[in-house]
Amino acid sequence: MSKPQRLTYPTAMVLQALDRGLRHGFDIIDVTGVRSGTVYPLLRRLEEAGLVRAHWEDVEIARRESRPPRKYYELTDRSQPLLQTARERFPALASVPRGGEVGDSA
Amino acid sequence: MRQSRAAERSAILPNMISPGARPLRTVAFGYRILRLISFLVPVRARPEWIREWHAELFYTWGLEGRRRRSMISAYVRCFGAVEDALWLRIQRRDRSMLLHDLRYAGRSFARNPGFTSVVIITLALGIGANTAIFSLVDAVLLRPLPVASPSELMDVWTSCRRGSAYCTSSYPDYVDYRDRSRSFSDLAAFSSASLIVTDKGDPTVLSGALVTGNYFPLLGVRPALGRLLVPNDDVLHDPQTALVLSHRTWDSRFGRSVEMIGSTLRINGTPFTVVGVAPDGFRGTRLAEEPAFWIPMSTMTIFSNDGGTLLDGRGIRWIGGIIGRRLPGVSIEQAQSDLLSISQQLDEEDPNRSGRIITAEATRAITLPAETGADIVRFMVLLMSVVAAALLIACANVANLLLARASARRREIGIRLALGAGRKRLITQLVTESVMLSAVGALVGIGVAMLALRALSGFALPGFVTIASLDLHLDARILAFTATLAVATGVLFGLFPALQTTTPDLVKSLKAQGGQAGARRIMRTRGWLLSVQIALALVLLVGSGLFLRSLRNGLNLDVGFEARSLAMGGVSLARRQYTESTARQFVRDLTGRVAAHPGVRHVSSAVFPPLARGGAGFFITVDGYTSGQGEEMRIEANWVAADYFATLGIQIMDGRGIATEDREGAPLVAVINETMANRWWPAQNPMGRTFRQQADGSGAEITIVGVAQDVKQGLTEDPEPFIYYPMMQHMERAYSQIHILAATDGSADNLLSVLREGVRSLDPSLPVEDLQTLDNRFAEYLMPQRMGSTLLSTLGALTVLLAVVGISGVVGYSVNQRRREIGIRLALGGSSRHVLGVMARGALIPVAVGAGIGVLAAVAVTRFATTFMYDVAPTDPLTFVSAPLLLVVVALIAAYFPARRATKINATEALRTE
Repeated sequence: MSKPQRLTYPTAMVLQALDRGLRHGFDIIDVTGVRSGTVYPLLRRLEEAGLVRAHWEDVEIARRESRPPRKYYELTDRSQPLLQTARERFPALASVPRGGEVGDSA
Repeated sequence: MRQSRAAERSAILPNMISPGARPLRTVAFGYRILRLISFLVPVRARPEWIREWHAELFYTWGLEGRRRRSMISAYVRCFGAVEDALWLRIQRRDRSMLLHDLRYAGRSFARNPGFTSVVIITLALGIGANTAIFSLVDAVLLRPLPVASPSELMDVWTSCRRGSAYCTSSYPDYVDYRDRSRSFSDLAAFSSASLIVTDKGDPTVLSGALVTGNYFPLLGVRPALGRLLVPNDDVLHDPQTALVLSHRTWDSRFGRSVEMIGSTLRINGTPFTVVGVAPDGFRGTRLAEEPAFWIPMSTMTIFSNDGGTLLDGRGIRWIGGIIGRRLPGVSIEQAQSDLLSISQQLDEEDPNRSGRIITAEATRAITLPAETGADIVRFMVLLMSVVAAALLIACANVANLLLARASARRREIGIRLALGAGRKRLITQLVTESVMLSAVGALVGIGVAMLALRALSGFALPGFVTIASLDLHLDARILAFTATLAVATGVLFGLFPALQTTTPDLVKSLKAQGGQAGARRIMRTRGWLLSVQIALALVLLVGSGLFLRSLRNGLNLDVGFEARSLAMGGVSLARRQYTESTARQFVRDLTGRVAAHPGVRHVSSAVFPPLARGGAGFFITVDGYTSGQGEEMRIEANWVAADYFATLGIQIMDGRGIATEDREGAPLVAVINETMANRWWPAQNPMGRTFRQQADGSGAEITIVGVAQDVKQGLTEDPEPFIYYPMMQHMERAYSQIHILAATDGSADNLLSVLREGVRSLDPSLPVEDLQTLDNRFAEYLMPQRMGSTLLSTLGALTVLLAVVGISGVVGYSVNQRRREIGIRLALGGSSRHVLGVMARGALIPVAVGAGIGVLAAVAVTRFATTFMYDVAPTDPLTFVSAPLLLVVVALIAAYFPARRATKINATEALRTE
């Protein structure tokens, strides 16, 4: 929990994507192009470090849209310093689009 | 627990899927795979893990329009699930324990280098073969086009008048689809053409693509250098002669020179300005057609004498492909019904359009013409199953070897169990060992895969897609596949032995008598593994036998002409400003020059070369014959020069062949084939009968002067009615592309230079295309058979080798286990032959069982490969008898040597030892 988070490029991308309002693992994969086998462990690691908070969406919503319920992730306040460092270290992050731009395809 | 799982399932499964039973099955299947993988995840995290990945699977599937095929990419994406699960597993475990296990395994493998290397080589071959074939599948079917949002793209086709839904379109068709459709943001058209490119050196023919100005903007491709084509380049009556080079051409022909931008290349004699270079990795949107350059479609009017009609004629269907980008929010089904209603509108406006429909499909990795596409998919499935079977054999073999090793370690494991080691802990350790083996195997396997891909690069897929032209490389996706495979393999072959050797009653093994029960159980498991291995090996052997037989049949197939002594070369006279009369003179001069060479027996020419899969289609009316209701009077035809039949060695059954006097101005004549003669003049003499070249009977009268023996137009097709017209009487149709054919008494290879020199001496600026011997052309047709039989027989030989290892391992093990028993038998006067029989039986019974299962499995499986077989039934008796026979003989030999060791046992010594 208190272990310092290693800041790799994929970590930075995932942080940036979450900050831009993307909320599920698969959205982040689509937008960042980082592979699923990297994104999910990253999200879990960030969650353990307390930088990301996760919750399950209401089953009723999923039922109405005829799909399985999704797990939503969002940044906590504690992630801000790391996000700042990430932006300074990887200026290319600015190209990660906003949540609204990819659209919810369900 | 069980109840909560059921509840969780019912909460997710029933309401997640759109109507239709198939998708339900496919997603449910994916769900099952996830559940399997979830066993890697620690129990506490498992339910949540499954739910999250299920949402991922469902999303990915929905992304591509919820079609069955998109499940493949959903599965590929879920490979990540294995990594995620492993990560969780390792995360929640004591890391020092894992390190300890790895170190322990490493030490014990280092002590048995022989065992370790056999296992690693076996696995490397299995994993390597799978990696190689998967990278092929990936390049052909899975990898998305390197363009912006490829999932929005759709391929649009116009149907043929009859038959295939996937035919070419005309330019007015394209314009209508583009302007009337409401579901696409834009539609672009492209058509490939072989064009003559002249830079500094010799003129060469390169495949180029004519594309509409919106092609690159629609795809969203960015140039590597300069700019790409834009709508302003493609103005109908004022085309810009701008040209974009492919990255590969820029690299290989022009050495990546930046100065190419702004320079001039002559295409069919017209100067074009190079404006840019396409990005690396962009190879157009068709698998079989990688263009060397792109030019605006409207420049077609410059090349073609009747360029105007190309752009206006609804009947001239020269547009090879149309690609569209769906508007956001428009589903594939909506786009399809939109296009269908356009085809209905067009039919109402123009009754002559004869009800062609418009088909649209989501663009896959790389667009394939549909029929070839289906063949390629089938071939890929075949290859994947073959290498998967080979990997399973490797797994069974390695599991067998591990069992042998485990039985040697039973004492050690028994002691550890007795001292209170947890069974789970021991199993984890044993599986860690096997995963470590498979990981090393996978590393070596990557090397094997690279060698295999190099070996395969000489082959071609169905539809003449050469493997060398594919962009094959081991990228992250493929390495992820290999890693997943390695872990799965390790667990698969490691778990069995681990479960076997750690059964609690193994504690007995500490007792003096050495745990006979445990040994017998291991023996039984080894027997089963051997059966599985033999069964799979037999399927591969039968498969390779069938492929080899069909390759041989293909090579011996009588196509109706003599291929061994023939060579051909093509010239496109129309592209070089030849007129009909100069073209006639050129063909006459060339024929004379080639014929003058010593060793050349016959020279002729034809528009369609042999094995061109038919010719041009015509509707005809036969004088004195009323066609029945719905009878198709469409016939394929070729234009040939004098001496054609003698050159190819085709027999004239009646009348005469095409001769020199059938020239321009002479009465119109034709030679027909036997099938045509039998169809319209059965039991009559067709000589002197007449027919006309129009469906309404208006065309000029053509007299039949000869009947030629049937020849094959492709390799598998049955002969169809066919007409040969004299080329000189129809030069207006013929001179766009003419193939010169020459026959020799000697080697056809020598003819190649004769043909090339002949053309060069008459017109140095005219390139010779398709220059090859007919044997070579023939070989191209047999590529899938050649590739299949090479791959299958290589794997077949390897699996037989593995079977030898397996069988001698099993017999050797049982000899060691039963030393006392053998000693008693020998002491009581048992003959060595008797002992030999007893020992060999232990292996031969599993072999017999495996062979039985294998034959049944082969019967069930081989029928899926019928598309690639010539004249071989999938249940070919010769193959089905000889393959099991071969295996049994090999099994006998493999069992004999270790069994003989048993007869050499000294009875007193054996009884004295424990």
